[in-house]
Amino acid sequence: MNNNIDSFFNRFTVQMCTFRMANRLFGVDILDVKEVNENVNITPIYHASPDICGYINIRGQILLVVNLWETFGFDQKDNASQAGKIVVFKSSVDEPFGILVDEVCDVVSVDPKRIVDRRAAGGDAIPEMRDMRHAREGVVIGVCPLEKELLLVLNAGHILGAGNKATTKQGGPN
Amino acid sequence: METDLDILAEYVEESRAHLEHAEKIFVEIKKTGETSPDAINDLFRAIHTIKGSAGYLELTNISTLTHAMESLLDDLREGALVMNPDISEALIEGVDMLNNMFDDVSKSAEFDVNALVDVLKRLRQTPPATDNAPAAGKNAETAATSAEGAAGVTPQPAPAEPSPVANDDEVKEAEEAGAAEEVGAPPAAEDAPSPATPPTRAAERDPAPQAVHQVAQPSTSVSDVTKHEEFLRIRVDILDRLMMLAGELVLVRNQQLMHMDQADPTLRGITTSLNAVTTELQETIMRTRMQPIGTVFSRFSRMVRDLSRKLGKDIEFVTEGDDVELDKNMLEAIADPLTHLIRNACDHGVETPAERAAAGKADAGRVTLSAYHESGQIHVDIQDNGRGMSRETIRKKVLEKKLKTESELSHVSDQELLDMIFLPGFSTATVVTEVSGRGVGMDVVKTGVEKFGGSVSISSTEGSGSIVKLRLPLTLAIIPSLIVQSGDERFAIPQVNLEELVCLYDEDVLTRIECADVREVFRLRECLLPMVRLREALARVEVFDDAALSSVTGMNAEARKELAAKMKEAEAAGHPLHVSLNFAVLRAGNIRFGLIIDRIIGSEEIVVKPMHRAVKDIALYSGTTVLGDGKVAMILDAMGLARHYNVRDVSGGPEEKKVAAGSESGELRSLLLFSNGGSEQFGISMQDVKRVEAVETSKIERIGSQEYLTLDGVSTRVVRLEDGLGLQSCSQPENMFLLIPQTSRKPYGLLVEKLIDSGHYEVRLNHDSYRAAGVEGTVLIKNKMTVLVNLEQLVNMIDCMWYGEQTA
Repeated sequence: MNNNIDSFFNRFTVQMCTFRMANRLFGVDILDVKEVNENVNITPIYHASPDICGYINIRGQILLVVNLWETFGFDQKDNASQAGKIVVFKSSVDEPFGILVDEVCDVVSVDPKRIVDRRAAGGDAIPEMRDMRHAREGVVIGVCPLEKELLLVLNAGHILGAGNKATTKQGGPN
Repeated sequence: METDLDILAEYVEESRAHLEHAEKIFVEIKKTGETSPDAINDLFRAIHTIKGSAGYLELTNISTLTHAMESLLDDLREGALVMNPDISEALIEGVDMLNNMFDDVSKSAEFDVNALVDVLKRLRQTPPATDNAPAAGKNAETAATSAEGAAGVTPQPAPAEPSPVANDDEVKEAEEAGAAEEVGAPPAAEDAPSPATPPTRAAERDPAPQAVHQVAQPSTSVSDVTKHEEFLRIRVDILDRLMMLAGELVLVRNQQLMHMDQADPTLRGITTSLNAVTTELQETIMRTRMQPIGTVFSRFSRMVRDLSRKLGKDIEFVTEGDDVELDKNMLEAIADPLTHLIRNACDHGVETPAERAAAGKADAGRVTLSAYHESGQIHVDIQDNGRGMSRETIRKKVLEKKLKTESELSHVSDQELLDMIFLPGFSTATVVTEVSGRGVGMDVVKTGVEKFGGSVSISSTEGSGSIVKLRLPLTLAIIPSLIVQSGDERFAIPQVNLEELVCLYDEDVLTRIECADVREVFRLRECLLPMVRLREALARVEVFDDAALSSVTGMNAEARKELAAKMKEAEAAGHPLHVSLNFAVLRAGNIRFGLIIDRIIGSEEIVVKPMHRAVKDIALYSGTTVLGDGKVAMILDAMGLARHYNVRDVSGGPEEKKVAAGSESGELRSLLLFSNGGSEQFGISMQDVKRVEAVETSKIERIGSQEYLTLDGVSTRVVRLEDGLGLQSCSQPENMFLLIPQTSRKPYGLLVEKLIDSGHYEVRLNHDSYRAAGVEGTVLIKNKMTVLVNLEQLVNMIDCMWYGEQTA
């Protein structure tokens, strides 16, 4: 979906790759996903901001892995197992990167019209988002009510922040 | 003809890149309202480069405008002027106008630059500037007439022969470029060789003293051959993708090899072919990026030709090794530094015919550009047989520019003095010419070459010329590096930063690392080496301040005490404890430090991949790589590490360098000490020696009176020290050492019997006690008389013998 959220909302149906994290269900546009990987050997990057897990090598390509627990500010104490799956995004989304998630779930088809645009609803209107301390601007597009639970729809292109804003949190030599 | 057009097209492309960079800086300046000295320097360099080439391509308008801009920027750089909105406005206007001119270079002469040039000139004068105005006006007038004269020539389509592979756009561009040359050439240049004539013919037809003799036959013949081959333009990113896929294929193949059932013969056959094909595929893809260095060399012949005309000198330009292949990126990267170096050689190096005659030299000066492979690197030498560099002038200039103080200069060796021409802001030319001499040259070359992992060295003999040696890696993407471990992680350290590895054992671990103020230091051969602990540097995100350093130092001092106690205990119990500590001596710029690591794993050629945007700002790393086992490792940035650990520049202070050397009078030199059978001790300057080979004397072959040894497939002439110096001949032990000199182009080595030591020694030369050709003098080292061999002289002597034998 990249950065063009409006065209996303104009689509007829959207297939979402869903995954679970901190007992919540998240979804990203399946067209943005390149592949799902087992938790391979992660090389930590010292001095990087806490939401960066490190680098992995997938068939010769080096990918940055983001820890969404940190990105969303969930309490790491609840994060029982670091072991999980890595959802790798296509290079059209951003420079190659992936996110570490607890569990990858089904692919669900969603009518974009049913997604409550976060921009309209306001962040606090959605209870699932209340304890997400510092979700970056534009990461959560909105919420879609499924049969049993709510699906938080994410914009993969904004996970690392838009453009060069991404590095502001860095623990570099300042 | 074709090369000339290529040069112009390339120049336009390069200049556009420079202008784009300049525009970015201006945007930054506008946004922040501040100008840093770096920004000014960058602007200056960009404009300077554009101007230089415009001069020799005879694009008068571009040259005039850039010259005015450059002068203004130079004032800003020197601090004579302060940036203000007027100045930046005028400069931006200049950049815009240049952009317009580059849109169609053939019409660049039709632009009216004089108004802007006047504005730029006026800005240079501190207000009120009324008295200088008439002069500026007059200048503008002359410039206007010359511009008119140039514009009067009607542009005519050049008789370019479109090559079968060029597409329409290219042909058009080429034609326009050709037209530009016709227009740009002032009428006065009519008697000079026309740009449309191939260089070789021009030289034959026009025997004027300014003519350049084109000797680079190989390059022309190569292009003749290649013309008939077929070419296809491929986007570089597709090649990159291919390269990456080939890399992936290699990994898949490795996995397949691992899981293969060795017992199955069919499968084994398939695997073997897969293996072979994969390897060949990868090598072929690597080769697609390689291009002969001659493509870069060829454009310099024209440059030298034009320079020689402009400077009124007779310069012969020789290229060697045109077919040496280099990565495309690397070729692009070295074009700028080489331009500077060749310009310098022509302008400063080669003398005018009159000066040459007075010095008893042949009328024609010679600039040689040669490329060759050696020990996994590409070497490019730029040599001239001009006046060489005056040490006295360098010394004066360094003092005048306040780059170093008098007392600092009193310690430096000849070579160190020579190296000072690489300092920023250094320029020996007394007159600012269009060609060179604003002091940007050499430091740009050095930083440029070092940026892509190469190195520059210079040697010069007063009166007989200079030689600048560039050492370049084969590609930008693959670098040799040392793999080390800290904690559970492995890191790569680029070999260019690595000076040596030191391992301390047992007692030394406890005593050799000392505390100086807040930091840990190690005495490495009379030098105080600040120590950096990689583990601590990684653990702490903030830059180390004194408090943090002292706490780390204190902690490690405690740890050492504990370890000492433990070792004592273990020894008392009869099971001595063995400990060791590794550190790598790294150099980044002028900073040198020891990096303490947990384990040294080995060296590996690594493929450098850039950092992800989100982590790019971390100073500690310069990139990432995939190691042989498929795991990602971070590449450490020595400069970033040093900054993070707050290591200061230590090379500047000679007092730190010489902790133990008490005396002031001797210079500090790095020497290799050896003996040769007899009791005499010899010394040789370390920088003259390229490498030392342990050889077996039984392998030496004799041909007539000459001796040869085969080293890495090269027949190397063996020279015995006693032959050169007329000493007593030594016994003939089985194992001896061959010193391979740095400077000689002929493969030979100096055979010596025993190596004694190496290190920095204070040298107080005594010229009188012992005299012989090839000997610098004697010196007392550790109270032993040591004969200092002048390898260069010895090499020259032997070179003469060599040539003598060959011509005989």
